[in-house]
This record gives sequence, structure tokens and C-alpha cells, in this order.
Amino acid sequence: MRVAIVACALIFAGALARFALARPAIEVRFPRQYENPRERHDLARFVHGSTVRVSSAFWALRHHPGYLLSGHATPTAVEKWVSDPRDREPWAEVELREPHDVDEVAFAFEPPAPRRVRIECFEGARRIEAVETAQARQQIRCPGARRVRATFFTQGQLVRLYRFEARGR
Amino acid sequence: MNRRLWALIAAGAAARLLAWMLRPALHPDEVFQYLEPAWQRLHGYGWPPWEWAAGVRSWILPGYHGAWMVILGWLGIEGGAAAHAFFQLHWAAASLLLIPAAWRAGEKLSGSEEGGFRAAALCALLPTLVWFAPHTLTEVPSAILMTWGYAAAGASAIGILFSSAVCLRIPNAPLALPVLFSWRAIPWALLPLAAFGMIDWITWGRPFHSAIGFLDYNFVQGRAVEHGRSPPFEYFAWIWSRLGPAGAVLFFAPIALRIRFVWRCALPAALLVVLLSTQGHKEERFLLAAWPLFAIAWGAAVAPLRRAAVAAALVAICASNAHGIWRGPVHDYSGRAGLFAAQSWVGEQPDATGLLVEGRFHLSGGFFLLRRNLPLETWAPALARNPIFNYAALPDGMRPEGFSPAWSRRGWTVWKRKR
Repeated sequence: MRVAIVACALIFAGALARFALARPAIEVRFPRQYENPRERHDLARFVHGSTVRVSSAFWALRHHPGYLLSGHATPTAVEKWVSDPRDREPWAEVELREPHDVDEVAFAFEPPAPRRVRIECFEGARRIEAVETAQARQQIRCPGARRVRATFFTQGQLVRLYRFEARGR
Repeated sequence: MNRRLWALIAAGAAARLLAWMLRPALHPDEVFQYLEPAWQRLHGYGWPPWEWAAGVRSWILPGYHGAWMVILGWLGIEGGAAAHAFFQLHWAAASLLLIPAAWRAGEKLSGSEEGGFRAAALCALLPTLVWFAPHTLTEVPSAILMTWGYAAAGASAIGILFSSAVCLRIPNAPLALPVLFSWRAIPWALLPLAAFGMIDWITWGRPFHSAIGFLDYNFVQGRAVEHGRSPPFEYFAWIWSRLGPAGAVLFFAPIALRIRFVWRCALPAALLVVLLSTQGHKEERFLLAAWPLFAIAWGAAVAPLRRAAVAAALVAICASNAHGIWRGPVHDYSGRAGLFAAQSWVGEQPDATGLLVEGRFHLSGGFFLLRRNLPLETWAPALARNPIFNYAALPDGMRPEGFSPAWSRRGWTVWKRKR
């Protein structure tokens, strides 16, 4: 009996430690609804089974990161991702279902937009391309890219982003 | 252990299982104060209500739930209806601890085993206690610890139990008054208090941060009334309506008649009701910890009476109380078990990309019930235009355009977007 109680206590203590030390990533995985078309399109759109990860989110107002990939042209004020106020260097990353040739990345910010955005493309851990821009739409050469990451330089401001598009074939 | 005690525990367990199966109405706090924060901490997503932004909640109960969530995860149960059922049943089972505590306290108060048995019988079967048992609220563990404080004999147990009960639920402090009459218990009472302060220091960055915030918000600024104001005698009206006239007389008359012998339990319970009545914002659950003490006082008061008469009174009290709960209003609670089931069902659909739920968000089951990191928002026609929301959980009768019914239960229908 005593052994069982001690064993249960140890299991619970282990679970409590795991809970206390949890540092989960914020990741939204969408199921694939449509195959990617042959023509140039927004590869990041949720219907193609992409995944979005963000450094933080303003959960209190439910500005969910999943909205970034909705592709919805007329969102309400709710349907945007907003970074957490404590996040000093917010970033968002789209992982495509399979490698694609990305030639353009576009953002739909709610003003004020960040002063600069660093855009990086990856195939696995290998970085294919990195550019810094102040534009909301940026041409880029990323053949065979699987991930596109945007790091926002905001000078302490929140990032308020409606859409994150990665165009290509 | 005493056979009669085991029989009461078995009867209490059956009653609590029945209460759980009847899907008791739910208070928003059950999910958003004590389950959703643990879920968010563990999985990175969830909705924190303002209390968590302001830091007026301790991490003790969500931390406890969080550890259980880890264990459930090891067993393959990740959130949703199954995890919610586990937590409801867990607290219903934990509330069975009231029964031996009431036995001991009743025995102590009346000086007879019969007094203990009768107090325990009422704690096992009183519908108000049974109805509140499967709720993930601080009131339940605080009431259990408080009742054990009255049952305990040693200074260390008294100090630790009363202090823990108050740390979990500060407004129950008037019930811990007996600790002040036991000087040897006070140093022991400081131990849980120190642990509570330490946990706040680690989690919120300041010792007793949540307690200070809670007291400031509710009792200094008096802002609890922003969540509803009730008349001063509302608690008495609720007790009367829940017990019914016959039940109230049978319950309180023996206590009043033998108050000289049972005041040690009856007066702190009455004091809690009176002090809570001075606050504008009232909720029925705030009284929960007073009920076991009244039950103990009742058991001790009727200890000298004939067994058949007491059994008849107990049946009448329980029947009248059950009628009062069944027929009476649910006050601050909402019958949204159907929505919770709907959310849980959507979470199991592999094609789900977003869910709209009807009603204010804090009345939903949150991300804990959905158990998927997908956009989850209150239903609005403007949001229904966004294709990412391919499911909507709405009360029967609502028919959203562009969606077709996919699931229906307990007054709620899940609609799926047509492709």
C-alpha cells in the first residue's frame, strides 16, 4: 500500500514538473482540403494544408494566428494575428505541405506596419534566401522552399497582421 | 472502517454519479478560470479571461489540473469531453471526503457515534452538496479541506487544513475562525500560507500577488458588483427556495433548538452567509462551504432523537432540496452541456479548420473542449463569411446560410460549411 502511494506521488510530481516546465510552441496545423493548382497561387493558404507557427499571440483578444492563412479578403477587426505585448521580436512562419518555388511574400498589416521585415526561406534546416524589406509585398527567389519565416522589427509595437501570403508554384 | 460509513460513501458516490450523468449546469469559471489556463500553459493556446490578465487568480488549482492533464495525456486523453468528464468525476469523487469528515466532526460535536452518522448521512445525500460536487471550482476543494479542519484533532492538522482551505478560496476565511482559538495551530497555518505566497512569487513575480489583487478588486474597490448585484437578503432567499419551506424548517429548527450544543459548526457557517450577504455580488456557489457545517450541526442536533424520526426528516429534507434544485432557477449557471459536446465533436473532425460558437465566448467550452489550435470565435454573420470557419455550433432553430447540419444533440446542432 505504502509503495503504491509513493509511486502515485512520484508520478504526480513528475507530471507537475512537466506542467511547470512546459514551453509549447504555438502552431496551427490545417488539414489539406484542395490540391495545389498548377498556376501561380498563394501557397500558404490554409486549404492547401499548410501550418503556421508564431512566436506569441495576443490570446486575450483571441487574435488567432490561424487567420494569417485564411486568405479572406475582407476580414473583420477580430480576424488578424496580434503578437503578445511582451514579445520583443515577433515572428511568424508558414510551413508548406511540400516544397514549392516561392517568388513573392505579401503581408496585410493593420497600421502601423513594422519598420522592417526580415523574410527567410528554408528547405529543412538550410536557408535558401534572406531579405530585409520595408514593403508589404516583396519579390523573392526561393526554389524548393518548405518554410517561409518573417521576423518583424517593430520597435516595441505589436504586430497586427491580417494575412501572410507566400505566392509561387 | 465502520460498515455504516462505507455504506454512506457508496450512497454518496451513487448520488454524485447520478448528478454528473444529469449534466449539471455549468458556471463559466469552471472552464475558464481553472481548466483553460492549465490547457494554455501546457499546449500554448487558449483564452485567458481578464482575471488571468490582471493576475487575481492563483496557479494552485490550474497547476493541479495541469498535472492531471499531463497524466491524462500519457494515457492518450488530450482535452475535450473525456478530459472534462474526468475532472468533473474527479471532484465529485473528492467530495466524498466530506462524508468521513462530517462523521468525525459530528461525533466530536455531539459526543456520540449516532451524531457522526447522521451528519455524514446528510453530507452524503444532501442534493445541494451532490449537485455542486462535479464542478471544477475552488469552492469544492476549499469546502472539503474546511470540513476536515472541523473534524481534525491535532494542532498541526487543524492549522494546515484551515489555512489551505482559505488559501484556495479567500472568502471562506470566516469559516477558519476556530484556528484563532487554537494557538498551537497558528504556526502550522503559516505553512500553507507561505507555500501559497511562494507560488504567487514564482508565477506572478510577487508574493501573494493573486491574493492581494483578489482582495483589492473584490473587497477594497468593490468591483465584483460589475458582474451583477443582488439584494442583501438574496442568500437567505436562495437557501429558502432550495430547501423549500418544509425542508428549511426540518433542517434549521433542530440546529436553532440545540444551538448551545452545535454552535461550533453552525455559527461559523451562519457568519459566512451573513458576511457574504454584505457583498453586492452574490453567487450560490459561494455558500458551498457553509452547507457541510450546517449538515454537521444538524446531525449533532438530532443525535438524541429516535432513529425513525431522524430518517424521515432526512428523507424529507433531501426530497425538498432535490425539488428546489430541480424546479428552481439555475442562477449564474448555464445549461451548455450540449455546446460543450458539440465543441468536443468538432475537435475530433480531421477536416475542421475553424469553429464559430453561438453566445458569449466565456459561456463556451473554450479551447480546452475543442482541444485543437484552430480559430474559435463567437458566431457572427460577418465571421461566417471567412472560409476558415468551416463549422458552427448553434442552438437548434438557427439555420446559417451556406452550411448543412452535421451533428445534433441536447439542443445544439453543428453545421458544416458546404463545399
